[in-house]
Amino acid sequence: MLRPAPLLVSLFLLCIASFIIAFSVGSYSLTFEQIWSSLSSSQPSIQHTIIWELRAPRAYAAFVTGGLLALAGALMQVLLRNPLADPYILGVSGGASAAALFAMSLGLSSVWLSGGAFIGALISILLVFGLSHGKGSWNPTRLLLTGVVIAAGWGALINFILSSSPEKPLRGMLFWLMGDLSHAEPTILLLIVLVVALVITFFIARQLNILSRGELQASVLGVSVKPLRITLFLLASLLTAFAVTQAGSVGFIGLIVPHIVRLISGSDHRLLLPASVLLGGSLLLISDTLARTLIAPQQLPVGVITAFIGVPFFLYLLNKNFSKDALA
Amino acid sequence: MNHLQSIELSVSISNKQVCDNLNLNIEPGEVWGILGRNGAGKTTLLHTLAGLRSPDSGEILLSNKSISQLSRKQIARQLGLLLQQSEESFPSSVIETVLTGRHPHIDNWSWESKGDLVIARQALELVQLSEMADRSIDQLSGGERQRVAIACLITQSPEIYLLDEPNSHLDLKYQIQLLDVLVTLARTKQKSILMTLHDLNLAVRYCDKLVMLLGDGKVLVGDTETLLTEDNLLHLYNHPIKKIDADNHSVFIAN
Repeated sequence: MLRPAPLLVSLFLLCIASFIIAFSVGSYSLTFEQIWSSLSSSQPSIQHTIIWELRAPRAYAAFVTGGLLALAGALMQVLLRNPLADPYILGVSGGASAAALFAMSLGLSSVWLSGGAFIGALISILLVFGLSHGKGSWNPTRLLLTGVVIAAGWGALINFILSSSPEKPLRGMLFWLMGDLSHAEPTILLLIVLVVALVITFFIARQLNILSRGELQASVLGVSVKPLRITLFLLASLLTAFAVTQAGSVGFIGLIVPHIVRLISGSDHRLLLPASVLLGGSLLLISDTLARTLIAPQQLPVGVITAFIGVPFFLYLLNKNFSKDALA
Repeated sequence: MNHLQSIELSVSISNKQVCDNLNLNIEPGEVWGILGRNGAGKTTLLHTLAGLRSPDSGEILLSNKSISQLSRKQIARQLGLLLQQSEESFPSSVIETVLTGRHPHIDNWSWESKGDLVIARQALELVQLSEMADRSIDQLSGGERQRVAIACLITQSPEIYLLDEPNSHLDLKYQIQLLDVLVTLARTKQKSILMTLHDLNLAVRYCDKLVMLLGDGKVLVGDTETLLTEDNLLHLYNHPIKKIDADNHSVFIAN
């Protein structure tokens, strides 16, 4: 178990390193000195343009999206008390994807695309929330099943749009579905959303620790479970909606990053949540750097890279953890 | 002084009456037991008294205030409940789990203080788990987990302890030792205890008063000595139970 301070410091260093790599690697490589001089001066130069107009906005979008996804994933996991939960499990990305693909099939511009995706995500959130808070008792299984089925419904709609749309927009659609940052629109709003969410979650983090001991136990220990559950649901869903609007459905970040942090430093949400944001951001930034350089000049969707890195890494950690149990 | 009262309390679960117009008055320093068959509604009654579910009618008063008017946090500072089942989706260490008991006493922005940690360590000492403080909870046996749950409850330090089968998973030594710890708390620090039990010999050993849930909504309330008769027990469990008077206490054996 790593103590809070060393963990956060090393994650912070990892963030800086991943930004430096993202700034330097590409069809036009930059040295550390070149990056430093373009960052510190406003003298117009080709390096300056490459960094400020190409690489920095994309690196920013990748980092913040990764942070949003990791935070949303950690919140979903404690909301559903299910280690398999990821930000997309309740159908938020399905709604966003269906709307975005619909916009693409109509040949609409990218503003419509992200606006549509956000609205699609909101519709999905309200649908799942309404259906799972209907008559009768509420429990995580009901929410999970409602969400999974709604997600399946969106899946059918997505397949319908894919199979009935003309050849031309298909490639863009597939990239969107796999998760791709090349169309991200880095705005300051994203960072504000992430920071506000972090502050809110820090305020409720100790309640989350108790909620992971079960809803009854949490009530007994003085947590008002219902408002907490609704906050969690809306927060996790909205974070996911913002992330999906930027980058489509980038897989694995939201699932594995919280687990990695738990394995390194335990389950205290006061540390888990900020650490997940830093690690998720760095991981997506590194993955995106690989995605745009690995088979350059062709670009890969970043979702392919996160899955390629995520699957073996997750399996490794899981096996390590279970073999530790066997010895105990 | 904090005490727990129920006034004309009626509780039912899926059309089965647990109690009807039940009046209880649990004073500080008293130890109460709830007896009843499987499914008679012992857990339901405890959860209702803890404010976790609302009664059909009647009221529950915690230090003369209606429990429905209090926030969960206000309730948790006065009343603790040992649950029958525990759920640990993301296991943390034993000491972290026990520390969650301090939650109702800490502001949302604050972290646990040194004092909270001392309280948690003392509770672990009482259930004899000090050496396991840093172990992960999912590496513990059922009995050890039960002791962690009891330590968490002691850490919460409420005035009223509701215990749902405090003996489950515990071996004979810990059944006696932990009930001794809890009952001593009640007697010396003026806390009150209400617990569900299946072991009549423990009931007669520890409880001042008993609540017998007969299963049809009828409830017997009274002193342990007067209620524990062979007739009542036959009615209660629908099974003959023999009462043997030993030196200065009674022993119960199921026929």
